[in-house]
This record gives sequence, C-alpha cells and structure tokens, in this order.
Amino acid sequence: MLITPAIVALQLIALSVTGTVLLASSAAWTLLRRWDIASGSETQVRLERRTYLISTLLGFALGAELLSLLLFVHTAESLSSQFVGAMCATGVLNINAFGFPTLLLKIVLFFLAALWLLLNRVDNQGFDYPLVRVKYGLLLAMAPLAVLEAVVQTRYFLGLEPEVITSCCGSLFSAKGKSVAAELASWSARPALLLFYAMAGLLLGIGLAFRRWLWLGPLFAAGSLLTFAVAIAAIIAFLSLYVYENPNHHCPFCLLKAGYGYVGYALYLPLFAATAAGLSAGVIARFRQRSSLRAVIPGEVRRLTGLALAGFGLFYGLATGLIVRSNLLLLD
Amino acid sequence: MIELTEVRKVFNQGQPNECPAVRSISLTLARGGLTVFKGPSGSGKTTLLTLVGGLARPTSGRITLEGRLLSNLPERFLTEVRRHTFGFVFQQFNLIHGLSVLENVMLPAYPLGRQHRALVNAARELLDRFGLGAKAASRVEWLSGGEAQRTALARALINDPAVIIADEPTANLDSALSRDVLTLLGELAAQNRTVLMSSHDPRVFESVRVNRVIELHDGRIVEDRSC
Repeated sequence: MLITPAIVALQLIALSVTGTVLLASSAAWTLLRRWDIASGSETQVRLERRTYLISTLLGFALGAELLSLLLFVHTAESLSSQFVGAMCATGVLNINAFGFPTLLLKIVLFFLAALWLLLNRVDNQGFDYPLVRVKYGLLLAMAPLAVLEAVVQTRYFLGLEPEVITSCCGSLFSAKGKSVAAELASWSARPALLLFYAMAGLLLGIGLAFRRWLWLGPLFAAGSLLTFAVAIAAIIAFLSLYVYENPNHHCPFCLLKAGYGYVGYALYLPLFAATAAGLSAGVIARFRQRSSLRAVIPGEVRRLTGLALAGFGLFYGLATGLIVRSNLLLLD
Repeated sequence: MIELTEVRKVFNQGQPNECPAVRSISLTLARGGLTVFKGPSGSGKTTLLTLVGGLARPTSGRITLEGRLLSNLPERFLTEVRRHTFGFVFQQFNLIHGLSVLENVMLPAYPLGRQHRALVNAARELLDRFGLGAKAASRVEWLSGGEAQRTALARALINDPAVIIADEPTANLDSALSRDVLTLLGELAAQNRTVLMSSHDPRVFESVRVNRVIELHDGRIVEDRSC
C-alpha cells in the first residue's frame, strides 16, 4: 500500500462520512417511525432538537464527500508516475479490481450528497420541518452506499502495490475492446456529435419550460442526468480526440494532465455541478405544494435551474471551443 | 393569545441532579393585560417566562402564539419571532456596560436593519417617554437603579413587541421606583400589549394595575385568579 497525504485525507474523509452517516441513520430510523409534528411528547421534542444537530453535522460530512470525488480523481492522476504502465489516472484505477468501483460509488454519492444538502437547505427555510422525512429517508438510502464506498476505497488503497504492472488508457479506451468504454470509443463522430448537441438543445428547452412550469421537475431531473451521461460518452467518443488531436486516443482522464492545460477540470467541474443542480431542482420542485414552502420553492428551483443551465452552458461552450480550435478533422 | 399545553421543563434530565422546574402546565394567556406569576424562589416563574419567550425550549408540551406553534420552531424562525414579538426586561437589567443609554436602547433593533435615523428617533422618543431624554448620552453604568430599569424597559419596547416579559423587574428597586415601573407596565398593558411578569413582591401582585395573578409552587399552578 502507498501512503500519501492525499490517500490519508481520503481515508479520513471516508471514515468520518461513514461514521456520521451511520450515527445519523440510527436517528433517522427513529425519526421516520416516530416523527409527529402535532405531538408535544418528549420524544418528539427530543427529535426536533436532534434533527438540528444532525443536519449540521451531516452538512459538513457530505460537503467533504463532494470534495472527496475531486481529490480522489486528482490523487489517481498524480500517482500515475509511480506505477509501471500507468500513463494517467486510468492506469492507477486499473491496478486492482476496486479502483473503478470506488470512482463510480463516489460519483453516485456525489449526486446524492448534493441532493441531500440542497433538500436540507430548502427544509431549513420551512418553519415546520417540511422535508424532514424526505431527507432522512434519502439518508437511509445513502448509508449502505457510504459504507460500501469506504470499504471498496480501503480495499483499493490497500491493494496499491507499486510492483504491479498496470495497463494504460490506450487499452481500456480502445475502439477494439469489448468493454462499455470501448463501445463508447467506437462510436462514429457524426452521430455522437449530433446526439451531443441535440441533448443540449433538448435540455435547454426543458429547462426554460421548467422555470415557468414547475411540474416539469421530474423531466428536468431526468434530462440533467441524461445530459450528463451523453456528455461523458461524448468526451470518450470524440471530444478527447479533438483535445489530443489524435484519432485513436479516447481517454477521459488524460484531459486532467498539465500537458493539456488541465482542461479536464474546466470541463468536469461545471458538468458535475450542473448535473447536481439540475437533478436537485427537479426533485425539490416536487414539494412545491407543501404549505410552508410555497413561497420558497419557486425561487430556489429557478435559481438551481439557472445554475444548472449555466453549468451545462459552460461545459458545452468550452467543449465547442475545443472542437473548433482543434487541428484534428473528424468530419468531412 | 399564548397557549401552553402540558408544558414540562426538566433541567439535567436523567442526571443525579435532575430538576423538574415546570411540571405539566396548561394555560391560556389572552392578548393584552398585565399578568403576574407569583411564587417563592424555585417555584418555576422564571423558567416559565423563558419558555413563553422562546429563550428556552420545553422538555415536552407545546406553546403556541396566535395559534402558531412556537416551542418547536427551528432556531432561525424562533429568533425572528423573539425579535419581533417579545420584549424582555430582566431583574439585573442586563444593560451593556461601556455603551450609552441610547445605544443600549437601540441594540435589539440592529438585526432588523431599520434606517439608522428612524431608529435613533424611535429610541429618543422612548427615552423621553420614560423621562430619560437627558440621559441619552450617559453611559449606563452611571445610572441609578430606577433609571437603569426604565432604560431596560425602553430597550424592551424598541421593536414594538406585542408581548413584554419582565422577570422580577422591581426586585432591585425601592417602593417608589417599583411603583413607577409598575405604572409603566400597566400603561403598556392598557395599550393592548400582553405584559407577563414574575414577582414575589406583594406590592406588585396586589396592585390595582394587575389583571391576573397566577401562583406557582414547585413548578405547578396552585392558584389562578383574575383581578
């Protein structure tokens, strides 16, 4: 196992997030069974006090969870020079069977944590704890994932053996392979580009309509997730080729390298933030009829939708700029 | 209207030094009028007033204000209600030393973000009303007991609250000054403000200005009479 400050930080984050989520889960379980806002019982009064403390602690823990995704990817990228065969984060994540599962769990938890934090923000604006059951229900759903992430990440870091010869991104993101990554890499550029921009137009249309008609929430949430998936696919299928100016290099992680101006961070940060905002806006809009939130939700949802559209706009704008400025020609 | 339903407050619950200060009190306090909570030390008067004023939360039970739950409000909402609805007067005055009389009176209004000029005018108006206009620039540590308590009363009124909570406001005053403070509180009650005060001074709860006397003993109501 390698021990670096970043690995220690990631393990500490995983430990504190898991610990906090587990502690909060036991309170959440009691809360879901016994919460009764109309009652003045001792149990209810105690739950009301505890929810305030627990929400505050979870705010810090889940905020750290958001940052841990960035730190994890950055760490994987920075360790690439220490493993034979690794050219970028792909090789480091490929060292054992737990690298990519850790990354996937971190991505899922990133969106769930962002959703929880935004639900909590809205709940705090209602005087009668309007979303308390929703957010603690979500917390219970997140708890097993947080534990799993901590276990898988620990297994991954424990299995980082410097003598292992790993495979580079060229083999995983090759159009000739049989993995999902290879499938994406084998897409031809024209339909992929069409789908990429069609998705942007569709989401923009849904987003503008959603700002006016809040009942379109589920559609906007689904649209944001779909756009995220299409964007990742597009990065692998053609955007990476334009950046590297190489028709066979499909790696989505090499974009994070200094040699490419760290352009990956500029692409991924708005993309992830926009998806989290879009997903949360769609979910939060569902609670617009709760009496204590009627005056709050329209403003919050419009703000989040604006943020999501701005984030996607930034991503698409940068992607388009990279395509236009590239010396590679994929289309006739 | 303020309504208390089965309100209990236990300090250090579950500890060897557990202390039940208020035991299952149900009570309705109509808007307006001067209500005095009387009883010996340790009877629960102060605790009950802090619960009504949202300065503490009950161990169990509910408190409503104008039909809206008060005791379970999240802290940020409770703070808002406290700022707008309640004015507090304390036995020890609790004025901030080092600040002038005027600044002390203005202090509770700062979080509300009122125009400074309007705020200064409102504070001066209150000080004039309580005969303290000439003392506006004085530091509060130079005030006599009666002046300090009238300053505290002016401070309690700066946000124009519907409810005044006064905890033993006459305890540190002589007879004449107690009478003055009681007169001022009676005038506020006559203006349809709800004045709730605690006292174990017979000169207070036997005063003609008092509309209702509630006697507490060991955290329970033992007598409730209208005057």
